[in-house]
Amino acid sequence: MSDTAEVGVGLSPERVRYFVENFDYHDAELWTDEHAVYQAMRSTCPVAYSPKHGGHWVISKYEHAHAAFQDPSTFSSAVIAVPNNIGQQRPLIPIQLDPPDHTRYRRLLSPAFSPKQMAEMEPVMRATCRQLLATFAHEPEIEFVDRFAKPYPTSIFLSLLGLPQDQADQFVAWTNRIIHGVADDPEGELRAEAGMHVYMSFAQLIDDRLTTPQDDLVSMLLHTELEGERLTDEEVLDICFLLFIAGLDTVTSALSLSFLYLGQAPGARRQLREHPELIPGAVEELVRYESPVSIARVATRDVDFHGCPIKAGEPVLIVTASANRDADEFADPDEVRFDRTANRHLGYGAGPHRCLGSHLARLELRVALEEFSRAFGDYWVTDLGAVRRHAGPVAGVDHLPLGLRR
Amino acid sequence: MTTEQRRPVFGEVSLYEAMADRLNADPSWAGIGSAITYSMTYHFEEPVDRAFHVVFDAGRVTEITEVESSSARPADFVISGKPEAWKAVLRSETKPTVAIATGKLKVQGRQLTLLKHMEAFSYILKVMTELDPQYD
Repeated sequence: MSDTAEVGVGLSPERVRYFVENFDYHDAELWTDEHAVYQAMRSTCPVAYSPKHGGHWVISKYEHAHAAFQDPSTFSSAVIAVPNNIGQQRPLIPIQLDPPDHTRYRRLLSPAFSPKQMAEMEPVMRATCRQLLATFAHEPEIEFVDRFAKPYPTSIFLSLLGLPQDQADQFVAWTNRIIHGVADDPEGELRAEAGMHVYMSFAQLIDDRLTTPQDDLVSMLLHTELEGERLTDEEVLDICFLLFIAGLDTVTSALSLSFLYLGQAPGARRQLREHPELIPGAVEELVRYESPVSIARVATRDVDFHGCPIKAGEPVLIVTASANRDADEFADPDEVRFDRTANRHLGYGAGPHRCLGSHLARLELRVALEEFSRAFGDYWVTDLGAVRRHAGPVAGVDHLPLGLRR
Repeated sequence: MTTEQRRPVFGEVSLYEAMADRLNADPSWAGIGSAITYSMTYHFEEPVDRAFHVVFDAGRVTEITEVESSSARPADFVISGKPEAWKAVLRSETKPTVAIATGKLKVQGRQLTLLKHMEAFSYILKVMTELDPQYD
């Protein structure tokens, strides 16, 4: 099984039916026409059972997804992926914890990721973005994923944590292995090893910051008190691992998918160039339209969920990419409308676990769209046949050739 | 500490004595292990069910004792695993970091210290892979 897919190939009705009954978001074939499968699931089997990866349920409709996100007592975050190994050694703080433990950590972390705090990062972010764009400003064509979508959020993440920028390539490689390495690593050993290396890197950083605090997130976490107690260095280690898992690949994927769409939509690009005030709305709409992140839960008890007998301990995958195209929630869900109002998409999840880094992600995406529009008169996908998408809990693009005109 | 040339035996103290001889004479380890001043208990779970307490002082192995159980003497780190897991590491079939990351070898102790010195701890296990122990 490969985990990369050619774009626009399409699935036969038989294969669509197969994926409705055997959903597997690691299977590249699904991603040749995933929305045909989602449409079929929403209309015929909105809570489906798949025997893949030991068996799991799949939720595809907005209403059901929203309800599951809002009910952590039934749908626990102890499981967040199918299968549930993303290189972590212990539960990830806070996304693999349920209330009340989750609430305690979230109160500590939320201020560090508030819109105000993120806004303070905008100058660094914009400078990073401009620096990267300058490296290919005079090239007629680039491979967007490697030249921009990966290094941009990685550089920002390293700045946020206080890690040196020369580790960027290594962090990109670890991210790729952990997030996208399921297909060729069935035992999970390579992912676990990559996870170990990430932990080792953070351990060194934490050890440094314990003795020599700096103006960075890790120092803040180590020296902030939570209900009169400091976080242990093990807790800080786990939080760093979560930020790594949640913060790098998600933005890379959102950027790549957004530029894959925009690169084929000259009217949309023109709109953003001529009306940059539309960019914040465009960021939301592109996250809704593409929704790269699907997240799992695990049932804490036997429950009849919309007619389906989910047993305690069974994983439940919430396919946000499907929920965000549900016509019962969004008018013309398959159209991209930058001026869409009441865009209550689930691209950042919902409920107590709504994405902690959503303000950071939004800002990164907005700055990227603004700076691309400023730097280039136009950009476009030069060869759609060469585009490769990948499957998995964070769907994205492996290869995106983009033509550039200043 | 023994210096005899016979092959060490898996799951016996001779394995650790051979490890100590090798590490204490290894100039690379003198650098890599210079920050390793810890006690470690290596535990072979059932059916072998034996445990060895090893003391490192600035990398140098200064004491090796077989102990009755993994908790018989306080140690900074306790590394436990089934005999098959240990064999897989010693036969270089599984990397030490993979064995630890996947939980095939379980490590009790301060995680930050363990991770910070993982390179050194992995080096110890790598040296053990070169000892070619007898398994039966």
